[in-house]
Amino acid sequence: MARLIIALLALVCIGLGLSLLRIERDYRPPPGTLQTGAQSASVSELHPGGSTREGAFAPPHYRETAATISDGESAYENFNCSGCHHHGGGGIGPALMDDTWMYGSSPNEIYKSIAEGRPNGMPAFHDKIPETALWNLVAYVRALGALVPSVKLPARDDHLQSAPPLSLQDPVQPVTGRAP
Amino acid sequence: MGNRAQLRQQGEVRHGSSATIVMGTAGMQDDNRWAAMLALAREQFAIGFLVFLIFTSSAGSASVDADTSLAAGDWPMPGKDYANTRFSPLQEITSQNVRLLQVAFTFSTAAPRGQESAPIVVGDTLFVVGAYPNILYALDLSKPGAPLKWRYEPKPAAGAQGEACCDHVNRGPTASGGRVFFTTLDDQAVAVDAKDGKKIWQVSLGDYRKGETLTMAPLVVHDKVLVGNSGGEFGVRGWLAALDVRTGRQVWRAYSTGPDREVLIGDAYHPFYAMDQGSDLGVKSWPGDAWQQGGGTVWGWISYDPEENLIFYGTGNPSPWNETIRPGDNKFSNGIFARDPDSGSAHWFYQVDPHDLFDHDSVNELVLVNLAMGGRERKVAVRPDRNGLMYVIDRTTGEVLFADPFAPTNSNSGVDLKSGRLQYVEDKKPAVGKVIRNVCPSAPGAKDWNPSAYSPNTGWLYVPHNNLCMDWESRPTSYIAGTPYVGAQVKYFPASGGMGGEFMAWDIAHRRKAWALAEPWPVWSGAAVSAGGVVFYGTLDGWFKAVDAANGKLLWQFKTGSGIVGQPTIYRGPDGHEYVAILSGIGGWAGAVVSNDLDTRDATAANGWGEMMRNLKREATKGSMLYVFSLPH
Repeated sequence: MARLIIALLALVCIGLGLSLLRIERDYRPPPGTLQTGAQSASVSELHPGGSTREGAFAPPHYRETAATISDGESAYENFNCSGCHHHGGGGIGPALMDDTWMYGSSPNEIYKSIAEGRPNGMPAFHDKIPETALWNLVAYVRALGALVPSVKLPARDDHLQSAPPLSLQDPVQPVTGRAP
Repeated sequence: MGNRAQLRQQGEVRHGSSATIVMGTAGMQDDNRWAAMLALAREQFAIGFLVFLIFTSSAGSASVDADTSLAAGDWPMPGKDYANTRFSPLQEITSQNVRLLQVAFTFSTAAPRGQESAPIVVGDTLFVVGAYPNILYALDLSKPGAPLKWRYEPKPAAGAQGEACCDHVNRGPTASGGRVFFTTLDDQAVAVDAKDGKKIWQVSLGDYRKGETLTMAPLVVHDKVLVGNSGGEFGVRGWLAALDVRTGRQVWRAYSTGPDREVLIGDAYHPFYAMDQGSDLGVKSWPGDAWQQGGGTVWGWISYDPEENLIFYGTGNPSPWNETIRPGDNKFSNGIFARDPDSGSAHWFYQVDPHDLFDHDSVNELVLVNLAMGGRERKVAVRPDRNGLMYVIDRTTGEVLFADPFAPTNSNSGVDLKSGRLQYVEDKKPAVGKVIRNVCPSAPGAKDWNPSAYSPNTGWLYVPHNNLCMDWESRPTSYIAGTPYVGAQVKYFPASGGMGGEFMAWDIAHRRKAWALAEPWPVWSGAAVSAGGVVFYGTLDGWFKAVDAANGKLLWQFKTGSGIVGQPTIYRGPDGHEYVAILSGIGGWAGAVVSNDLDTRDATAANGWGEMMRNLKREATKGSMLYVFSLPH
């Protein structure tokens, strides 16, 4: 019996060993199931083959907390985001507090909009804003858009009252894209 | 709708009484005319005088260029003539028959953003340029329905849309010598053949990626096309350039900040006031090298006096809005230059707002008229300014003759005529971290870019303008090329009276309002007036209105498809009949709430318009339609 068990264990070990020796091969993914991730958020809604688009994942270090949102708000002022988008109502750039997101409302899509810019006038900030601050900006922009639970949001601002406090926003269902 | 814009009598102003001392005017009946005149004489500046106005525009002073010497029925440039009168001598449409006005034809510019442009007309062709992407269209007026003759697409870079402070506007083409000239948002000046729309030249004058754009209508003087830049909210350094009409080659460029040699200040420079005299003030009146991001952009109107051979234009706000960052007078921002159009050399400069506190660009139109006072004729320029004052300036010297408030103003107490300096009110000066409340006028000013019209028949200036105050908080800001350089958080709201705007007639000779119409929204369209005694303007909620030049009575109005921020044009068609044209398409700074789908829960949206425009989306939608009206015939 013991010999049988030893033999079985040996077979398992050999099997495991062989599996480790298995040659790695890349499979071409079927059309429309391209892996999503930080590099793959696309601007277009169109996907040949009719795949479901799996949103865009934020990196593991991305957090929507009172601290990151507050830091993001500072960055929003310091990098002149407020010059075009003001306090969410928009101006030169589109509004950020409404339910319309021309290029998507997921953290990764917003990240791409800020880092890489968009062709109709959004500048690319990747070489201006440090990575951490950029993700904090994403958190603040999502907070402006009422996409962050209100318990995480500051209730008042010390400056000229521009918009209702973020914590009092109504929840929204974001829509991607906008007519001209 | 007409009920909302009521006629308001201005204090003790006697309608028509002033007409007795304005040449060539059929005044209204006034039993107390003589008594009124005596009273006025006492009230006016103490010169034993008869004041009267003599109309002098390019109509009487031919330019070298054949095309700008104007057939009376043409409207070859947005200002109509070099004096920027926007006055048409046509008389078919009158205050009696204007109620019969009807649509003759329409045309879409296919760009649903602010249509601030003036259609222009030369002979049997109407030229119109839309908001970005700035396509120039030529319509054949000799055919029924004025069909499209040709179009020219300059293909401006899309990225420029993010570098324009106040919507993707264009303020019009200009025609001269068989060519049509216009600018694109991405800094190109273009010349095309008026006959077939073929490109003659297209030159790039700047880098939109730094926040520099072109929105202004060019002006042609002699053999030069004059064009300046926009971008005062991006820390751009302002300039006016002269290009050769034949090639587009730059002949000169005069900067608004920096050393004298780049501002083109030399021996000919003789400013009237001591504050504008000195060397290299464009450097010395700034901290360090802040003049390099100092603003003073040139995006408004240029006037030209052929007798003096001088052009007159204003410079925009110093950058940034937050004044604590730029101690000093910040020359040569926010002032008026007189220059020789051939060499560009400056003859005088007058700084309207030294060390501007409130974004009060000094770029509004300068209407050239001759004013006879004390037995002496003065060649003057009349300017309704953002800062709330109506300036009458001797255009040969730069001396301010009068500066009278025409809208609610509490941030300045007028101009000290000895020093020429604007007197700021201490209580309303901004301070970092402090909200200054109820500052009047607001940043867009008592009146923004949208031009007035002047009728030599009444001697009155017809002024579309705002009635706004604001709360202001200066904020820290840093210069990042291509992003706004502002440093202020503001919001606008109606001043006394509760309405956002007003359309008024200003009696230049008597320095007072003749009449005024209250408008619920700021009036962001230009005006035009005709010898038929009719004044035209439009409103943000889409009404195109004709009012009586003599008394402001609403004679006719038509609801267009979108809000109006354009400039009316009055012309004679090839059929000999009089037409009135206007673009309808809301936008511009005041209308961006609609044209860029802004969210007005943010009072500071569009740099402060959110609160004032909270309900504008309920009353107006986007558009881009040209409307042309005529009497039935």
